[in-house]
Amino acid sequence: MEILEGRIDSIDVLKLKGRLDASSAKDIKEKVSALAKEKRVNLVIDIGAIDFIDSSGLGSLVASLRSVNKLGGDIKIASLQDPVRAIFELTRLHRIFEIFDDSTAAAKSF
Amino acid sequence: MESIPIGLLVIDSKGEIITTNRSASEILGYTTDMLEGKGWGEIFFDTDNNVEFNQVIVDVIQEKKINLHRDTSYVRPTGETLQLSITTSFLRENGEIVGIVVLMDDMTELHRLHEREKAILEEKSRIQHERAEGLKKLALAVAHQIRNPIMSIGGFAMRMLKKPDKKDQDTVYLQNILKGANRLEDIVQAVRDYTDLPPVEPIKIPVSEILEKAQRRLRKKAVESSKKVNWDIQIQPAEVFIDPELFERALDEVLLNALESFAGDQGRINMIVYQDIKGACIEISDTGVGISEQDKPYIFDPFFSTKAMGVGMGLCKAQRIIVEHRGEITINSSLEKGTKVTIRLPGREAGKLKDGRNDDGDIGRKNRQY
Repeated sequence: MEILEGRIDSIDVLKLKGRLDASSAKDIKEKVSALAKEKRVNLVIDIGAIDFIDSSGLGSLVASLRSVNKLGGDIKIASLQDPVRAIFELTRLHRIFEIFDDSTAAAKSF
Repeated sequence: MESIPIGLLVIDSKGEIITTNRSASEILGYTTDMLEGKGWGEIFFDTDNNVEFNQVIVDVIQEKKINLHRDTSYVRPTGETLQLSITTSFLRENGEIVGIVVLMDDMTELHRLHEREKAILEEKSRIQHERAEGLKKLALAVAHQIRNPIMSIGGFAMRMLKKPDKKDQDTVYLQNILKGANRLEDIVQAVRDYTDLPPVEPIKIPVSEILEKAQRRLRKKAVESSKKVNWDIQIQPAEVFIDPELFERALDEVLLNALESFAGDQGRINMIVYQDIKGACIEISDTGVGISEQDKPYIFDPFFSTKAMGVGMGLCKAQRIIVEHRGEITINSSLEKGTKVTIRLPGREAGKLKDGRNDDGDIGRKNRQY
């Protein structure tokens, strides 16, 4: 999985590309943790280019959210594709994360 | 629904857990109030411990299946780990998602029993292997130490027998010395046969092929000893992972014992082969004289024989070969009724094979020297 970093206004945007599974779950947690150390705790994670996600991947998003929540931050999810949206909705992860159609809308919501 | 021993969760089309029963609460370690009205992700995705358990719900959503079955571990909030058998169904009506039904059964106790049984079997196999290795070392050392003196005794007895100027009584003594030396040489040879067994090199082979060959060899032996064998053979098609050359030696020892157990000049040998979840099972029974209760504890011991001319290494060798195949050999016998030898061979998964085997289970065989 690739993590492409960007910024919209003052918000960090992490665009994930590829497979978010057991092998890459650690990468996203480490990236969020590294940003948190620099007090960058309001993040957008864009998963529009994720072509596979499993429970480890979903767990890593929840763990990342919990870690920034503790520091007063938030993670918003952008660009859910239909198969991933179904998982988010049927597990009610959309009640944990705020979901937006794209990164810009997500960044502007902070 | 409350009283059924299987845990039940019903999730509606919006992801809300709308129904649970008491068993589900007990299994998952959450009260009904903590589960109902929430979503799976809100409760279970918060911990790294339940990745496998959570994958069940991800799979049923992605695959949209009915009766998707998974065996998975689950860590309760208290930290206790359970083994669950979970069946999930993705329900749709007229193309619309209705929800998901999750049934879960706590298999922890059964799993523990299974693991315990597996550990006991592994320990038993390890002890047998260690015992065989210890015996091998001892036997090799003894054989090596007594071989040269025996050769000297036998050789000098032979030379003295050839001398013309000796008394008749001395000839009898020397013949007895030579006979004794020859018998000791047979024992040394039997020990060398046991200690020199090469490592097991298994290939996939139909069990019938091995048994038919063994049967042919025993027929020949029966003719040599003027005995008649009435065979009764029931072989289910089964493929086993064995080293044919070694396994044939073990079978030969078992069959030879059956033949030699006949009280008269004929008897019956039954061979039954079947396969079950544990692997393949070969049962060889005879209508011979059987084994007495006092002899039973020693039948696999080296140098134990009830035969006048036997060295007593046959069953010991057979056991070693079967154990090397990660199998098991057991004997049941009734005096004057007969003996049943049961050889169990593990399936492919249980019998760890050496590397270098191709997809068909065959391996490149090394040139072997015996």
